[in-house]
Amino acid sequence: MIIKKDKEIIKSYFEDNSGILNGDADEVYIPENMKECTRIITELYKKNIPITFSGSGTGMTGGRIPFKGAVLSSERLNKITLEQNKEKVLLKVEAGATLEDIKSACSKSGVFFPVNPTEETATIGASTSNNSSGSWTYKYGSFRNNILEIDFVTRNGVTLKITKNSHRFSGDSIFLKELSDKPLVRPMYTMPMVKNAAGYYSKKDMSLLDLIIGSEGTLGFISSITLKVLPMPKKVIECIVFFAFEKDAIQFVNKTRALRNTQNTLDPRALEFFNVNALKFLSEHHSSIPDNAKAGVVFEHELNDLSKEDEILESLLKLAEDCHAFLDNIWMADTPKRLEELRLFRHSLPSIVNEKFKRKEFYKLSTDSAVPDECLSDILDYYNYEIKKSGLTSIIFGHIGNNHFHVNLLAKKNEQEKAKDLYKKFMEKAVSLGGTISAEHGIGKLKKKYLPILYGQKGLNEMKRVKLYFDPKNLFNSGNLLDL
Amino acid sequence: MKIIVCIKQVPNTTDVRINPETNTLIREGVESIINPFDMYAIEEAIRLKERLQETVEIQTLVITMGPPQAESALREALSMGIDEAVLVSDRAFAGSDTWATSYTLTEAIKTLGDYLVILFGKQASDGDTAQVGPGVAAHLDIPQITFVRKIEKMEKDCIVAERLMEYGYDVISSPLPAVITVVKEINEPRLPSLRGKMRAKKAEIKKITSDDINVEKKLLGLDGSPTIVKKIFSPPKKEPGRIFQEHELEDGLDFIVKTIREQNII
Ligand SMILES: Cc1cc2nc3c(=O)[nH]c(=O)nc-3n(C[C@H](O)[C@H](O)[C@H](O)COP(=O)(O)OP(=O)(O)OC[C@H]3O[C@@H](n4cnc5c(N)ncnc54)[C@H](O)[C@@H]3O)c2cc1C
Ligand SMILES: Cc1cc2nc3c(=O)[nH]c(=O)nc-3n(C[C@H](O)[C@H](O)[C@H](O)COP(=O)(O)OP(=O)(O)OC[C@H]3O[C@@H](n4cnc5c(N)ncnc54)[C@H](O)[C@@H]3O)c2cc1C
Repeated sequence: MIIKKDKEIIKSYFEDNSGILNGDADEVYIPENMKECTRIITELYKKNIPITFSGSGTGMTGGRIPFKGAVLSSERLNKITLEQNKEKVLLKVEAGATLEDIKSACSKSGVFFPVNPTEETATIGASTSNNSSGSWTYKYGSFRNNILEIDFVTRNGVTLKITKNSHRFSGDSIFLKELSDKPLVRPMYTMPMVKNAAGYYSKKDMSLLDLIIGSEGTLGFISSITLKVLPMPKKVIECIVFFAFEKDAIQFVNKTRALRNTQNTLDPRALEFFNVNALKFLSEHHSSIPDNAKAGVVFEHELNDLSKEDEILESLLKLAEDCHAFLDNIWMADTPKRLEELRLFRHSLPSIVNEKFKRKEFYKLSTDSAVPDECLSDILDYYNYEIKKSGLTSIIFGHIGNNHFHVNLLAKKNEQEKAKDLYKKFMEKAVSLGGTISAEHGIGKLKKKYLPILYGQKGLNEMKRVKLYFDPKNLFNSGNLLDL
Repeated sequence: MKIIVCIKQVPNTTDVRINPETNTLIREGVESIINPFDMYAIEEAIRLKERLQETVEIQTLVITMGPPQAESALREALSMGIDEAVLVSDRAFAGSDTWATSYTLTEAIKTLGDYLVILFGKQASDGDTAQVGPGVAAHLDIPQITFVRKIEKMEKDCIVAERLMEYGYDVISSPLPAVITVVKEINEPRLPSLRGKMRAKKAEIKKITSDDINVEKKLLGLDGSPTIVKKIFSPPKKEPGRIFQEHELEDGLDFIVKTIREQNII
C-alpha cells in the first residue's frame, strides 16, 4: 500500500471538474491489491476516520472531493481480465481500470463495452458508482444496464458478490445478514421513468445491484466489476442531419423513435443534438456547416448485416426528407478515419465553449436533466422561451434520443444570479414533466441542494435511512448526496 | 469542359509501419485512405465547378492509377460530390516510379476529352516526392502552378492563383489548361454526404488498362521506371535535444562546453 501525506502532493486529490475548491484530507491510501483495500477500509472505519473514494477526478459534481479524514484511491487497482465463458465473453475489471484501458483490452478480442462516456480517463469503479452513460445509452442504456456483477466492500470488510439475482428485495425490503439483523427497507418514492443518475435507485422487488450502482460511493466501495460486452459491429455509419427549424429536428427524433417500436430497419445507437447557437459556435471552426442550419441531429447506426446497408440509408434519407432536412447536406462517415473526424467535430464543442468563456471570464452553468419522450418538444420550447426572456447567452446540446440536454448558461459577472435562478427553474420544470435533475453526472456535493426538488424532504429522509444502514457513522463519501 | 483531379490511395499515415526484416510496408490491418492533400484538390474541384457553373458547363472527374482496390478511393471522391471516376489499372503498371506514373496518367488523361485544369495534391503522404503533378504537366507540355493556396480568378482560358512560398506568396497567372497542385491552406474539405454515398455506391467507374491508351509498353511499370527503390527503412530515432531554461543558464553553458570537448569538435 502506498500512503501519501505531503499536502503539496495530495492536494491534487482534492479536485475534480465541479469547481469546488476547499477540499482537504490528511492522507491518501493507495492499496495495491484487494486485501490491502478491504483491510484499510475496515481499519479506518473502526477508527472513525471519514473515507472519500477517489477515481480519476473527472467527476462534475465534487463527488471525490474530501473535506477531512482520508482518501482511498483506486488508481493501483486496475487489473483487467477477459474471459471466454461458453459463447459469452466476460470482462472483469478492478475499480481503477479506466474506460480507455477496457477499450484497448476489448478491441484486441473483437468486442466492445456498449457504454461510452466522453471522458475516457474516468475509472470503471466511479462510473459504476455514478451510473454513468454516454451517447450509446439511447440504444444500450447506462452502466446500470450493462453490469453483470460487482464486488462491494462494506464497512466491516465483508466483500459482497452481487449479481442481478443474488440479492433481491422481497417487495420493499431485504435482509443483509452481513450488515444487520434488521432488514434494509428501500426508499418508498417513485423514481422518474427517464435516464437518471440522481439519488438512490428504488423499485419494488429490485436487486441490491441496482441500489449500489448510482449510490455515488455513499454506501461502500465498489472494488471490482464484471461488465457485459458485445461483439464489435461489422460497420458503423454516422450521419449529421441539419434542419432549418428546430421543430423539424424534434420531429425527426420522434419519428425515428416511433420506427424503433414498430419495425427494425432503423435502430440507431445514438441520437445527439446541437441547437442553433451550438452550431454557431462550431461553425467558427468548421466552415462547412450549412449557413442557415438551425439544428443538427447526429445519427449513429451499427451494421451487423452489410446487405442491410442500402435499406438503412434509404430509410434514413426518406425520414430526413419527411422532416424537411437539408437533403444535400447530410454528412456521412462510414470509415474509421471519417468516424474519427466526426467524433472530433462533436467533441470540439465543449472545448470551444470552455475556451471562449474562460478567456472572457464568463461563468458557466450546465444542466443535466432528462424528461420523458412525450415531453421532448415541451422542454425545448420551455428552455428557448425562458432563455430568450432572460437575455442570457446559452447553447443547448446533448443526448436528444433520451430527451437529455446540457443547457449551458453562459453568464457575465452581473448575470450570475439570474443564471442560477434559471438553472433551478429548469430542474423544477424537468421534474414537473416527470423528469430528473441529473441524468448522468450525478448529485455529489454540487447538486444536493436540488435533490429535494425530485424526492422532497420525505424522500431524502428515506435515503438517509438507507445510507445509515450501510454506513451508520456517516464516514463513506460523507457529504455526497445527503447532509446528515 | 472537365476539371480533372488526380488522387492516390495511401495507407493512413499515423499507422505506417515498416517490417524491419523485409523493409516493406506492413499493409495488413492498415486503413487505406485518399492521400490527405488530394482531399483539398477534390474540394477545390467541386468549388470551382460551383463557381463556374453559370458560364461554363463543368464535369468534375477523379482519376487514379493503382490496384483494383483503389476503387474505394474513387467512390469516396464521388461521395463528396465529384461527377465521374476513372481507374487506371493493369499489372503492366505495377512498380511505376514517378516518371512512369506521370507518363501513364498523362496518356490516360489524353483519352478523357477537353479539360480546364488538372488538380493534384501537393505530394503523396507515402511516396512523398511531389513529382507526379509536375511530371504530368511536362508530359502534356502545359503550364503548372504548384503549392497553390488560393485560386483568385478562373475563367474559360486563364487562371490567377496564389502560390505559397516560405515567406509570403506569389501571384501567378497562367493560360489554361494547366496543372495545379494544392496545399492544405486552400480550403476545408467537406465530408461525404448521405446522398453522395448512395450515388457513389451505384456509380459506374470507368476502367482504363494499358490496351486503352497510346503507350509504349516498355515505358510502363517497373521496366519503364528509371528510379529503383533500393531499400525502405525507418530512420533511427534521434535523441531528443536538451533545453535549458533561463535559470539553468550556468548548467547549460557547462554542458555545451563539456559536450564540445568530449566530442573533440574543437
Ligand atoms: C470532458 C468530460 C466529459 C464527460 N462526459 C461524461 C459522459 O459522457 N457521461 C457521464 O456519465 N459522465 C461524463 N463525465 C463525468 C465523469 O467523467 C464521470 O462522472 C466519471 O464516472 C467519473 O470517473 P472518475 O474516475 O474520474 O471519478 P471521480 O471524479 O474520481 O469520482 C466520482 C465519484 O465516484 C466515487 N467513486 C470513485 N471510485 C469509487 C469506487 N470504486 N467505489 C465507489 N465510489 C467510487 C467518488 O467518490 C466520487 O463520488 C465527463 C467529465 C468530463 C470532464
Ligand atoms: C512503399 C512504396 C514502394 C515503392 N516501390 C517502388 C518501386 O519498387 N519502384 C519504383 O520505381 N517506385 C516505387 N515507389 C514509388 C511510387 O511509384 C511513387 O509513390 C509513385 O510514383 C507516386 O509518387 P509519389 O508517391 O511520390 O507521389 P507525389 O508525386 O508526391 O504525388 C503528388 C500528387 O500526384 C498525384 N498522384 C500521385 N500518384 C498518383 C497515382 N498513382 N494516380 C493518380 N494520381 C497520383 C496525387 O494528386 C498526389 O497528391 C514506391 C513507393 C512506395 C510508397
